[in-house]
Amino acid sequence: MTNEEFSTRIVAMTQTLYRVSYTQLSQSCDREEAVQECLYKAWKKRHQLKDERYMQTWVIRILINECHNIQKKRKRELPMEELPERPVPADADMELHDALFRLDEKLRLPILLHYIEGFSIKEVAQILRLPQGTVKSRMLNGRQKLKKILCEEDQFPCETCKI
Amino acid sequence: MRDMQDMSELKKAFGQADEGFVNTLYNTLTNIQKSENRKPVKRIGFSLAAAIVLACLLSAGTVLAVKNSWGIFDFLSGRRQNVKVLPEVANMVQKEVSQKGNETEFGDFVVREAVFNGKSVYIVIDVEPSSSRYLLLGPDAFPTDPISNMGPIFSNITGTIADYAKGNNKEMINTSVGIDGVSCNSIDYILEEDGTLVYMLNANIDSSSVQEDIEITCVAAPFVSLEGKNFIDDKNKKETTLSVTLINSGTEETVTSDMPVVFSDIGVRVDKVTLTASAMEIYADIEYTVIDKEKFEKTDKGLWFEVLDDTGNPISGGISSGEGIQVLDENRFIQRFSLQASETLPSEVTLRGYNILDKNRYEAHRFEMK
Repeated sequence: MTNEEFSTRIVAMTQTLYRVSYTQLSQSCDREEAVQECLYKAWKKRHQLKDERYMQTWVIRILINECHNIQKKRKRELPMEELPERPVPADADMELHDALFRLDEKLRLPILLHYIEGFSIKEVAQILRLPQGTVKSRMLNGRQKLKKILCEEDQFPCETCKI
Repeated sequence: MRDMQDMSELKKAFGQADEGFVNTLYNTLTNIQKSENRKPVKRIGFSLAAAIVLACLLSAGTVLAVKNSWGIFDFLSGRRQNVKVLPEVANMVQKEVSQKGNETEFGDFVVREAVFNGKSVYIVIDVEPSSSRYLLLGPDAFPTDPISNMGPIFSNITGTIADYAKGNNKEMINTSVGIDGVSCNSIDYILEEDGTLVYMLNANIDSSSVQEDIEITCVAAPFVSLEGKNFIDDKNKKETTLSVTLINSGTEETVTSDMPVVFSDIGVRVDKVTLTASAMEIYADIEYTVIDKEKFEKTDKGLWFEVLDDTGNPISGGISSGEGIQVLDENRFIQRFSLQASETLPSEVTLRGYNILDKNRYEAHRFEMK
């Protein structure tokens, strides 16, 4: 893969990379650090990618690992209660944002990857290194919780929420 | 009420990537491109430098091999794939190995090189034929095998070992070597032009002593022909014991995991992960306890933990194959194996359960290493 091909494919993934890092990291400086490290590593290890068709899942996997690294570093540096809150982006739907981020990360990530980024269950399982059954159950659990949160907020019976 | 038609509506929860993120992404890509375009003055990281030094070492070894004999590096580069050891290994090679007792009627056994670090040992042994008419063969080489199996200098010769021996008026001699009380991970050998058979043995020997005395049993036996078939003539088998003193060059840093982690799908709790660095490879010990027998038994004794790198791919194994699973008691086990050498030990590792029988992959968990 040439440098140009790599750059083109990464640029096409910008929004996905942003959402994946946003799902895991609350601070913009951390997301920037994660994507920077991810890209350096992906470029350095590009020869390990046997089939370029899987570049997207591969890069996302690297990014998720980088986000975990930063999360751990931050937890070591700051106690949980002192971690700053996640500011809501100006162009985001605040209600959906709050609902989604009330979910535990392990439920949020599969939902993001499948429903928003369009990866199949199998691909999500590969990205998260989880069995497909675990991915399915986390997504079901996440959907149910999301439905409950949104219904609570709207004070409507759950049947009316189309999740 | 939420007006969400489907789950993809959730995309609205994020908004667009912010300017800082987009700038970082573009700047990083630009920096990658710049560093690629600066090839003549490219910064060489330690790992690349190490690889270059190793490549030089390996090729120097190969050149030497033509004049002298194959060494440890020649075996590693010539007989294995994806080998990575650190250049410091060059300083660990024991060239003058103290030894006693080596002669048999058919050949002399001499330890020429050894690397020992208190975990594993690599020993190169030359077997020099006592007569130019002897054709020395390794333990699993039989007269009906192709002569090309015997090493690079025979690679273009067709026919069997027996054909070669007959055509060159040689008498075939079976040989074998083994470290007493230790099971060898691997035994490689090649036959050189002057008739010397060169062995490389690899075994795990755990020791914290400055030096370790070992005994190597060396056997040589002629073949006997009966009804047109060749058999090893046990009655004329000759044996000698080499007493060898290995110098322990030691290992380096060790890191251990900070807390146990449960792998719920296989009913196991990994109590401790220990990584020990050496220039040859990284030694890994994974101690685990069965906490749910029913789930564990479903793995049908095929459970193996693989170590994943930060891209989620399994890290290559080290040059020795390791010891496998050690049983501590009914529920406690230690998986001992090795990983490819690295300049630094990781501050965290990801372990994934893997079934070597049905190739199933199980949960993966991270461990912080201190």
